[in-house]
Amino acid sequence: MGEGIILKQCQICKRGQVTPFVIAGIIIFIILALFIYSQSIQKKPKIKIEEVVFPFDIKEVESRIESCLKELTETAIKIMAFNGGFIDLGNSPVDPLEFSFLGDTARITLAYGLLGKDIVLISNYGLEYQLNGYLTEKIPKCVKFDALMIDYEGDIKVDVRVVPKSVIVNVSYPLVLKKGGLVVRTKEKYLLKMKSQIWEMRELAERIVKQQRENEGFVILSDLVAPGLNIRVAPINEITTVFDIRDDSGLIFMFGSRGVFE
Amino acid sequence: MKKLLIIILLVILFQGLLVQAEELTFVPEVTELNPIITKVNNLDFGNIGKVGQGDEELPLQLKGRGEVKEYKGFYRINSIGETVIVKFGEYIFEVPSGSVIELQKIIEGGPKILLDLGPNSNGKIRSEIKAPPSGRIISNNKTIEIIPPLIMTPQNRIEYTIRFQEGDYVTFKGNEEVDFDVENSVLKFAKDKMFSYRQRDSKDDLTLESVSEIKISKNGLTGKVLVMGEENLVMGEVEGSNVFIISSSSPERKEKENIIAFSKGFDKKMIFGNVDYKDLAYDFVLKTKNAKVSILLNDINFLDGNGEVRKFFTLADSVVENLVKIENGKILFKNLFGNPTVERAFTKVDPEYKSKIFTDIFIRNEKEIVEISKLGSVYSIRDLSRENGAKFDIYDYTNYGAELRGFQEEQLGLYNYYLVSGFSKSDAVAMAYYSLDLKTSIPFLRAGFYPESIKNFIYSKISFDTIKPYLDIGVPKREIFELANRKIDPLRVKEFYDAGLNLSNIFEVIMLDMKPNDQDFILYRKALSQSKLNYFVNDGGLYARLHYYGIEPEKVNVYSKVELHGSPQDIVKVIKKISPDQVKSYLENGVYYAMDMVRLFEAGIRPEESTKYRKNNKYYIYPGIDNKDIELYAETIAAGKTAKDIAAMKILGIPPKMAKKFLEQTKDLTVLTKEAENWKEGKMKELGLKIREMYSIPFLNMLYENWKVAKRPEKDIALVIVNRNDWNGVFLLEGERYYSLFNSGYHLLLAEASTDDEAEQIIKRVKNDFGEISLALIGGHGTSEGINLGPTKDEAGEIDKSDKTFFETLNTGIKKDGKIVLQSCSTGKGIGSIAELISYSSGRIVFAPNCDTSIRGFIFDGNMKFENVEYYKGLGVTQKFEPIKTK
Repeated sequence: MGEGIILKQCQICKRGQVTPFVIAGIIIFIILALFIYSQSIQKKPKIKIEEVVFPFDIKEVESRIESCLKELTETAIKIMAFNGGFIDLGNSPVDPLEFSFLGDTARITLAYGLLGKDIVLISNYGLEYQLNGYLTEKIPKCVKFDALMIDYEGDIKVDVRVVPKSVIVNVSYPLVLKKGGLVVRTKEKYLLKMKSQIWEMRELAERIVKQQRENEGFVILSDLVAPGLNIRVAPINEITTVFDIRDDSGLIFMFGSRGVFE
Repeated sequence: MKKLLIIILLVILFQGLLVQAEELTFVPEVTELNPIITKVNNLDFGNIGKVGQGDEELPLQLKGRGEVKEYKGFYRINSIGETVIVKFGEYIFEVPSGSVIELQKIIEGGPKILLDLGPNSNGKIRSEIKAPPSGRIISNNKTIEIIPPLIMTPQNRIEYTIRFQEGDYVTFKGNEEVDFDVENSVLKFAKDKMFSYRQRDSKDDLTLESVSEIKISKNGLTGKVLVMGEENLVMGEVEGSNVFIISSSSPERKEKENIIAFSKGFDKKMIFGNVDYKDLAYDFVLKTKNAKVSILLNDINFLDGNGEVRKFFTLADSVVENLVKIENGKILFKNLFGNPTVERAFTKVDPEYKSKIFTDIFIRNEKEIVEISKLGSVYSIRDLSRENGAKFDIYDYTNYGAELRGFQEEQLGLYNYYLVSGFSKSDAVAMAYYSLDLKTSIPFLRAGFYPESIKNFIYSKISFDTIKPYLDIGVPKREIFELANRKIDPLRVKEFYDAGLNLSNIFEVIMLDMKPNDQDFILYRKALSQSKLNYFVNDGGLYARLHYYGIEPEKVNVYSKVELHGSPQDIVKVIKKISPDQVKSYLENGVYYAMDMVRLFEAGIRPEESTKYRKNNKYYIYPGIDNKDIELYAETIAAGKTAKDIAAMKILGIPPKMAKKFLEQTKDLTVLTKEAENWKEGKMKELGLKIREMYSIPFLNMLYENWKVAKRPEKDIALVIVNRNDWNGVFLLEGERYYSLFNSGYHLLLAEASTDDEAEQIIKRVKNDFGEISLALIGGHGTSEGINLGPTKDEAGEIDKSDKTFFETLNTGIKKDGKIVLQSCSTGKGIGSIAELISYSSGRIVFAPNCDTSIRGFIFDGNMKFENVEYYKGLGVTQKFEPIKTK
């Protein structure tokens, strides 16, 4: 039975011996055609740049936008985390917590997560919203077009998503650069996916304040699994505590808690 | 014979007269110092006096040889040579040889006896009643036995033992004064007494010292005692009611008994029921509640039931208390600082205790285990039961510094730069933290501003040159930012300072265009300085409010003798609304704070009724509840619930008894109960509301009833449209503020919107279904260009200057004399603001702020109709835009 099958296969092989050579030929032809085409495509822009001779490398602008995006996002996350979720504490829904330290000569200010019986912790959307506004305002300034001595036109649109383990920033910033009567366009989209645990930190903070509110200031230890996050507590007085959630990267999310449960 | 009989009768009569005469002659004055002394030698019981018990007088009898001293309030009976037996009513007492018994003449709740065993008793009690060689106090069927040994010490100290029932006894050392409550078989004694104690199945005697007054009965010990180990070393402290303190490794418990059992050597303890225990070896305080707990050295194992453990340590010279609660199988934690609620374990032994070596402890139940420990200098509490279990490291905030601030490279650079520039460490930390530029900051620092306030100036782009004129005038630094930020001309401030008026919150009066020489201002000042409100005489906020609310200076005079307490806002509300007589009447009824007075007055509660709304010095006022509810839910209130909670319970149909049951199960009815959550979810869904946190149950119920009302309401309509793009949560807290519109008599409706179209539809719907709107409030994050409603900043999510159809809808939906309030930052800022445009386009009066702020409260006129709005940043920020009137 097995031999029969082998024989049949061999018979098929023998009958089509010319076809493989034809197929191989076609494949080689296609590969060659594609190679030549791609070469021609790659060469085209070079020719264009040489033709335009724009007195500035647009890659420099794009790379500045990229590095500004990265640095500003990083800074904004740090400030935000350190202030209890607010880049500008003036936007906190209640007056921030202030306390003195180092022998009463220095003070620290940060937002509350819980005040009285109210949860006033920033929402995840609040984080995204602020990052959005911050980046929209700061990126154009950060690129410093003036220093590059070029004119530019173009609107920036930022879309930030704060998700588990990362912050994703989509920036649409198509620029028309003008210098010496010449005009060139930069690329439109920039995408940054930055590793960050700010989502986890805020979420953990929310669980803490919710538990505190529902349990007269207590947290339920068993319900607070926090992989990779350390929690520090600094009691300020009988009812006020500073919580400080940090990860190994040095990011610190601090917030105040002042529960009154009468 | 007759003569003889007559003689005998005469003799008897004569003798009788003599006895009577004798008795009449010997009526001694009984005093505390001069007792009547009678020597008695009775072979059988003979009367020696009387003891009063209730309305009865019981004969006091004595058998044996003794000396009876009758004082004003008591008898003192000494036994002479042998045991004397004293009896009255059903009570029989034995007084051993050479001993003294003191007995009160009037008995209240059982005889009170002081037994002073004399030296001649030689430690032995002989009894002529019943066989055992023990002294005893007998009352009916209840017996408290005094059993040997009874030992005299050289210092005239005695030791005696009291037995309650078979196997239980207490041994005292010393001349103790002990109260025997014979009726209830309870032994009472004062604090600081040391005694041996054995109850139930105790293997050995335990040495205890009373820390409080102690009661011991066959049900156990009530009070607080120290438990001593070898050489009287304190091992722990026990407190409780009816606790058996025993020495045993395997104690047995009968139902509902409270037991704490110590193993020999004190390594192991077992606790049943409700017991408070302080462990001095491991410095923790344990409180059990219907629990079964085993403690092995530092390992506290909750085998059943609930309780809490407090562990203390010292941070920054203050005691911090880690409080761990075991409740329904879960382990909860919080820490308290500064003023721990329970006296820590070690302070009893060492009141000056500061730095005992910290000992780790473990707390566990069936599933969970947590550790409170110290590693290096860090105290922490950690969940050991699972991988990645939570860990809280507890820090001393006073040493928060650069490290805690998590400085990045650039900030560390700044920090070092400031340090080498000669700034103090703390200033350097703060400057670096705020990344403050040195050149800009230096003049501020030199002028004495803190980095934190410098930050405000720099962030708001206020230069030092701008603020210098204020400093030159002498304005205190704390006032300058508010002035500079509002661009108030320093010359305006100078006018006040030149007139000697160094007011706090001076910006408030200047923003209202008040001047130091205004007649009103002078009269206000005069009235205030002569009144009991003179402590506000330098507060610009009060002048501003008096002026703003249109209060005549003479009216302030009328209130000059009334002592009002509270903030200027509340005090002015009182002056505006409540007559002096009513104020006096409120004060006479114990309403001292202006805020309470206003709340009571606005709720229509008369002064004489106010006490019905007061519990624990708080007033319980909330729509939907009255004074009867306060009484009905008294226990709920006592458990810490608010008037709002009571209102919520009524709405949810939770009667007081059920509320009590709920409270035992959960703490916050509005948050935790499933019924409440389901109720809320259903109602919100029906009304199309999504911002869950904004609505309390009573508020939501009110909205629901108002939206679902069967016929058009007669009340004026107030409509609140609130945005769904509240990214910083500032509107979440506004629910209660909107409620005040309802309280003032409006038919309040509230809806959420994400777009201008949605807002438009809401207004149309309200007009069609309920009638024209009297007051519309639009809440959303704003600028002078628009009001944001939705998550996007495009045209649809924002009410902007191009939304003509929206403005037209306002025009048709709102009454001609209706008003619009914008709860939206800066919408009234500058010429051509969105608020101005809305007023112009809609033809209605619009109130809006000229800066970033939120609403502090609404101002109502005498008919409780909306009159004005006050924003947080002061009265001057409210801009009122009136439409151009056309003929």
